[in-house]
This record gives sequence, structure tokens and C-alpha cells, in this order.
Amino acid sequence: MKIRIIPIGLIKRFADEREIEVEAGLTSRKLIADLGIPAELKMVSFVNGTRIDLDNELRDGDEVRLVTLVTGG
Amino acid sequence: MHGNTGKILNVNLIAGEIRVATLPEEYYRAYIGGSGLAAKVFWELGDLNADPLSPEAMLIFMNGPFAGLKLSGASRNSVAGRSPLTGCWGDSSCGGYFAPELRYAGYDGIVITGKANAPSMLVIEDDEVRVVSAAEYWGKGIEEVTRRIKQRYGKSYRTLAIGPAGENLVKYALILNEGHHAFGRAGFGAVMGSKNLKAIVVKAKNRDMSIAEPKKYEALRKELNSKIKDALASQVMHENGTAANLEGGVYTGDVPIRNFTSNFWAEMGEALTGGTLTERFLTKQGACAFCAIACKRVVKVEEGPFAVSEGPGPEYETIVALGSLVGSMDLAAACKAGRLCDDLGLDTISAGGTIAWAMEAFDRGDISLEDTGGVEMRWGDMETVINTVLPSIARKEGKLGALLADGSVAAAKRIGKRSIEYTAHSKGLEAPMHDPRGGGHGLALTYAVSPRGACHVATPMLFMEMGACYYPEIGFEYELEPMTDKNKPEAAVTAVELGSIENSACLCQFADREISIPEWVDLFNVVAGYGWDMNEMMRSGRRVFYIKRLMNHVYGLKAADDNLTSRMMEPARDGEPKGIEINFTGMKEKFYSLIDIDPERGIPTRRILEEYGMSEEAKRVW
Repeated sequence: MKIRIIPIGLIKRFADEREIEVEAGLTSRKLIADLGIPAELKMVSFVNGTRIDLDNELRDGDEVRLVTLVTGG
Repeated sequence: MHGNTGKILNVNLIAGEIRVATLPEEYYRAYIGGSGLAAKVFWELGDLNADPLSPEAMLIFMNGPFAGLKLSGASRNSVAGRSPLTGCWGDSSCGGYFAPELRYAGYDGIVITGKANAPSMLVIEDDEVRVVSAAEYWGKGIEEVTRRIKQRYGKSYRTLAIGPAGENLVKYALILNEGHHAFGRAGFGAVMGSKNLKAIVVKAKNRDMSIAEPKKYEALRKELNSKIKDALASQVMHENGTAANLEGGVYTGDVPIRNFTSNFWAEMGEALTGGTLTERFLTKQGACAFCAIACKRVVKVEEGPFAVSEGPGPEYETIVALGSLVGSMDLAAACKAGRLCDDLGLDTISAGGTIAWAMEAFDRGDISLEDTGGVEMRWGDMETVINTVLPSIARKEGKLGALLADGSVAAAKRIGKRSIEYTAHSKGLEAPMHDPRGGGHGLALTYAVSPRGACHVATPMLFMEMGACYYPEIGFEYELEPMTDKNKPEAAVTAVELGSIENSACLCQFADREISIPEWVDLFNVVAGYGWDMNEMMRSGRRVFYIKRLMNHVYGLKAADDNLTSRMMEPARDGEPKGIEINFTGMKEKFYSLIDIDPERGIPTRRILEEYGMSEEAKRVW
């Protein structure tokens, strides 16, 4: 299946916005690890505009925005 | 004494008396330094009831024990006293280059009272300390004053200066070091102005320091500097500044928009985020003394209505306060407005907060052209903000300047029409640029209980909620979910203690979050020779929090004043936190119980004060 990854803010450091072919059953958590985003970053995932649990399975055509909570002051 | 010098400069501007005093070592052990030690000095020696802008008011600058020791983020300085903006205890921390030079000159701090007869400047060259005329600098912007002082004395002289806003007693006037680094919050620029004190200049001949265990310290320093430099968060902030993840914050609902009326604006996130600043305007990174992170920005806007020459650029708070908070997504305008605030001497957070309130009031029809002297206050109109509003405030010119120069709360009280309901503050201090509804409910609690008012750096709660730091050695090893109250009172107790230590040891939160608690303890021990364990260090942090609470008791505050305005508490209207309630009362009650604060009076119980060795303090309030 195909999904679109849209990295937000500092996640752009680790991934470019692009469409990728992935295996069915992929979760945001696995995607984040596969992209090499460091485990120390607390992440949230927005799929088609809605925040979802990182362990939810993604579906064909999903737009996945990857966001970390870590911010400056 | 090691680390600290044990000496402070007492300056009475009325009598022209300057003398060196020593502080008891037990003050340092109990209150550390920085804002904590300043609070103890103020409590013991200050005229607590003096109007903050009167000659009797005491203004204190205080270092921490690590100033000048070449450790990343450990050479900040605190200014403290009674805030003219809030009327309560106030303190403000500044990085830059002032603290090391003051330490090398032989002093931990400066305690200033009185008012000079004419515009003056304090010049410190080791033990040669004098008050000289500053007539030629009065009325001038900070950029020019800093440049001319350095031309006169030399580039290596470190400067603190106020701008026209401080001279004109604008209640959120700042003090700027080297024309770049700000003691931004709580209005101490106005306190300097009220004393006719335009600037402070310091230069030391030598770099001698006394350290309890020099070899051990050197090894620890190198290890910690590497750890801080190599951390992912440090690298990210080096590249793209403190606004590196502003865009991420927009998605989580952390970034306030149009006076906290909205929590989501995607295009703005991309336009204002740190990476965009790097791409469009950054010319180089800047840094505070000895800091390997170098999160400061130097920017240049080449062309357009907001062109600005190469110089200090905005950090996260300024980009948001003079960006989305006032309805703008123009990054060049934020650069220019931030630079203008620096030059005029205005705190960008309170300036942005006050202007955002005025824009909403204008939008609602609660203030009219009659109230503003003909100035239209429109969301996002940065040309008007830069050309008219900020200069009017700093110079207290016209109706608009008079209305806004005392901050949003005073302005709302003057206007009435329920405009107080859309101020965003605690204890009169305009809220910083993390909306607790999206940033984290624990942040709502720590904003509310912070002695100086709504403050995101009084504690590391922001970083604790976002998972940027854990402290397993003191029991904080669990993950927090920002938009709930779960474990927040417990985390807030730890946050209050750690934040009090940070702001007393004058550590930068961006650097010290990479240091473990045992390493914090080691630092105190090898530098100052305290022989502390973790418990003793945490107790000092708690004590600092307590004494500031006692000070606010003198100013009439009660538990009910530990609050946030409804604007920041009502469920968000959009974005990620939409519709979510904050269990504020529940969190606050639990927090009081955990930290032994009386739920009515808002002060530590007599029993806990005695347990913390504060029996004398207890006698003044119980």
C-alpha cells in the first residue's frame, strides 16, 4: 500500500515529505523507527488530520504527519 | 568560600555610597545563589513594602555558583526584587556575558537602592567602583548606548543597559546585556529607570576563581560540556534556534494564536518555524558565554517593509509573541519588531501579550479609536505595531502609549467592559508562548503557582511533559501525557524544586536538561565544597520556592491568586486540545497537599517551614 509521509517542524531533519510504498499492517510507531527518528523524541502521529494512537495500523492512501512534542522555550 | 566569592556590592545611589559586604555562607547553602539568594537578601534586608519604582526599592543582581566556570549554560545572572508590573515578587534571568565578568571582578551580586540625582551609570573595574554621569546616553536606544559604552571603555567591558521604556517607567521594560541578551520579564528595566540608572558596566583584570576541587571540576566540566554539545536537542537548537520545532508545537496546540483564541494555524507554523528563519534570514549563530549549544540567532532581513540590518534575531518567545499571538505569520516582521523591542527596552512577551489583548479589544469594539488616539489595532497589522504601537508604548506617547504601558491587566481594568476576561496572565504577568491547554496541563499548574506569575522557565515542567527530560534518581521516571492531569501534581513538586535550583544556580534549562541529578549534585560539591547529597540539594530548591511564597504573602497574595485567567483555562476552540477541560482545581489542591502549602493562605505551613530550617521566616507569617 502507499502512504504519504509529511514530517512537521524538526522532524524534517530526519525525513523528507514523500509518498512511499509500505507493507500492510504498518503502524506509526514502526514507521517512526524505520525512518530512523531517534527513540528519545516523544512523537505523535496525525493521520488524515486526526491524531491517532501510534500503534494503530495505517491504511492505503493515508497522509501521515509526524510531529514531536519537543520544543524550545 | 569556593565557587562563590561571598562578596556583594552594596550601592546606594542617593548617598553615592558604595561598599563591599559579605553574606553568610549559610545563606548560600540554603538558597544557592541567583534568584534564591536574592530572595533571601531581599527578605532580610529589603524594604518589602516599598513601591517598586520608589528610591527605597531594592534591586538585586545575583550570580550563581558556576558563573565564569566555562560550563555550557551555567553563567546566567538573575535580577530580582519587587516587580513594578505585578506588585509581587519578581525575578528574571539572563544569559549573555555579564555574570562571568562580575564574578571575575570579585562579586556574586550587586544590591542597589536609592535614586541618583541625574542619569547615571555604575562602572565596576574590580575593586574600583564608581557612579558616573550617563547624561549623554539618556533617551537613547540600547543599541546605540551599548555601542558607545564599548567605544568609550573597550569591547571587553560587559554592559547592562535600559532603553527609553525603562527610563519612562514602562512596567514591562527590560534590561539588556551586550545589546542582545535580556532580563526580559517583570519590568526591572523600569526599576533601573526609576533610579536614574541607565547602565551598568563591568570589567575584571583577572580570571581567578576559587574552586573546591579544581581537578575533579575540570574533568566533570569537560564531560558535561561534551554531553550537552552532543545531545540531539542541542544540535537541533544550534541549527534552527529555540523555535526549531515551532511548527510541531502548532500541531500539538502549544502555540498561542490571536490572544489565545486559537490553537491551530498550519500555514503560520511553517512560516514562523526555526528552519524557515534559518533559511531566510539567519547569518550566523550566537551564544551566551561558554555555551556549546549556541541557540541564539543573528539575522538580517535584506529587503521589504521589515528590512533590518544584521544583528540580534528573535528566539521562540519573540517569534510567537510578535507573530501568531498578534495574528501575524510574517517572520520578517517578527525579526524587526523583536529588534525594535530590544532597542526600546521592552519585554517582547508582555509587549506581545498586551498588544494582542488590545487587538482583541479593538476587534470586539471594547476599545475604540477614541481610546487609542486614532490608531487602528488590527490583527496581524505589523506595520502599525512597529511604526506606531511599540514606540508609543516605550515613550508613553499619546493615549495608546498611556493605555498599554502598564501591561494588559492595568489596561483592561481601565477599559472595563469585561475586557479583563480576555487577558492571559497569572498574578499580572502576561503568559509566555506555550498554551497550557495544548502544551500540557501541568504547565497550567506551574504557571499558576509560580511566585512571579505565569512563567514557563520557573520550572522544567514544559520539558518534563514533552518527554525531553527524566530524573529517575528522584522518582521522576514516568511518561507524562500533556493533555491530562495524571501525575501532574507529583511532577510539579519535582519541577518546582528543580526549577528553583536552576534559577538559583543560574543554569540554562536548554543545557542542564542534559545533566543528571547526581551530576547536578557533583557540580555543587566539587565547585562549592558543600558535601551535599541529592536530598540536601532538593531541599535547597524547595526552600527557595518557599521564601518567594512568603514574600508574596507580604504582598497580600493568597492561594486564590495561584490562578490563570479563564482565557487560558476554558476548553480550546480548535486544534488538538479542542474541547478538553483542565482539572485545575484538582491538580492545585493535590499539589498544595504534597508540598505542604496552606490551601487558603497559600504559604508553606509552619511545620514545614520549621522542618526546612526556616523558623525565623515562619515567625513573620504565622
